[in-house]
Amino acid sequence: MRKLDQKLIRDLSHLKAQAIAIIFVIAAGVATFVMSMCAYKSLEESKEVFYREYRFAEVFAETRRSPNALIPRIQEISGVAAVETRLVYDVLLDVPEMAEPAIARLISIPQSTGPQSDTSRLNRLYISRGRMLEPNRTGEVVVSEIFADAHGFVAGDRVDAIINGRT
Amino acid sequence: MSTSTQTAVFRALDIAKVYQMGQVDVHALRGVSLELFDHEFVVLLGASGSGKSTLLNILGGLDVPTSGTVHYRDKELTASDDNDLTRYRRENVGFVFQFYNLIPSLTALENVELITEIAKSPMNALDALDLVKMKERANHFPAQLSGGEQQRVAIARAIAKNPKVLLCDEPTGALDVHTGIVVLEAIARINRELGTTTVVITHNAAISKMADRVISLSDGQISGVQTNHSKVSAAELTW
Repeated sequence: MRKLDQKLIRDLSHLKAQAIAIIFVIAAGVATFVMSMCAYKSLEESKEVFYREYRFAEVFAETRRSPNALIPRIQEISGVAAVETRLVYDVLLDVPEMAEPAIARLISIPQSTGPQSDTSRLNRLYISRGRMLEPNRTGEVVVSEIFADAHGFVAGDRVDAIINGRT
Repeated sequence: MSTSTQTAVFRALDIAKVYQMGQVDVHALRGVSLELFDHEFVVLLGASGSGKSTLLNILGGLDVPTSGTVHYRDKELTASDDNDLTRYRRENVGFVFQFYNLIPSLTALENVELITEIAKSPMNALDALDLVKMKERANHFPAQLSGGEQQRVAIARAIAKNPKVLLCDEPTGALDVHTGIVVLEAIARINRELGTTTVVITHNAAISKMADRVISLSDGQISGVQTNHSKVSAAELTW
């Protein structure tokens, strides 16, 4: 063994406690780094998987007075893989605990969706509580979880809405 | 002794060294010219601050002069770059300092072997220790050795690579008389038996009796050169 290496080993053995402490600190640092990189990667992956499975749209566009007959023409635009149209309408909600009426945005759900899970072509909903809307039944909505939690709504609760001036 | 027939190992011509200490220029050497010859034992004598360490460092390639030229045989040290000087030191020069600069975590033998590992044509490390009568203590660590013993190990380390010149900067400066003499005997033996050109710096005039030539320095200039026709052995020195 070269004498300089021998010196290094002896010097390190004299500083055993410090050397071990340094090794632990470095190991802890590396472990923390690896753990956070893993967490970041898996979050990223989960996000991708969620977007893919629930077919999250990449482009949103708003039009007014557009008939369904426009759909084939939108479909023809180069690069468009899937089109789905929805009606979006702002309404007033009469939430009992609020002094002033709340403004809610109603978004239609395509009629073809299944009863247990959303089978829309794009922007499928993830139902965490309750069930999906049943086709041909009126007066049902799916609300966002944050909204429901904020007002203490549970599945089956009733809330009045004023749509186009009618309750 | 006639020096004119000998080959000059070192030729220094009109060297000056100026250190800048803030606003003040310190002139450590002011125009020193000298020649050192093969196998010669030279003592550089001078008070502290006379420039003798600066001169030795320049000869040893540790420092470069502000002006003037220094030749080691055919090699102009003053025209060499850092890498050249490193190679020059590694291949030709052995240094001994006042404070031994041994590596504490290596034994005496290992301290010498550190050098023999990288030298071109080194002697056996144990032989080097034998030359300074330290063979028996080869496996002791520096902390287990006295100052004189450590200095002898430092000398063994300096000569183990078979250097052409041995430069010693106050080798006995930190030692008592008795130990100092043992160390000087070791240096004289190297000079005598290996023919290594040896330069010893000291402020102790008594040591100059063992030299072939004594060069006195004061205030950065050579103030006198004295040739000893009869050298005194280290053992006969007293101070």
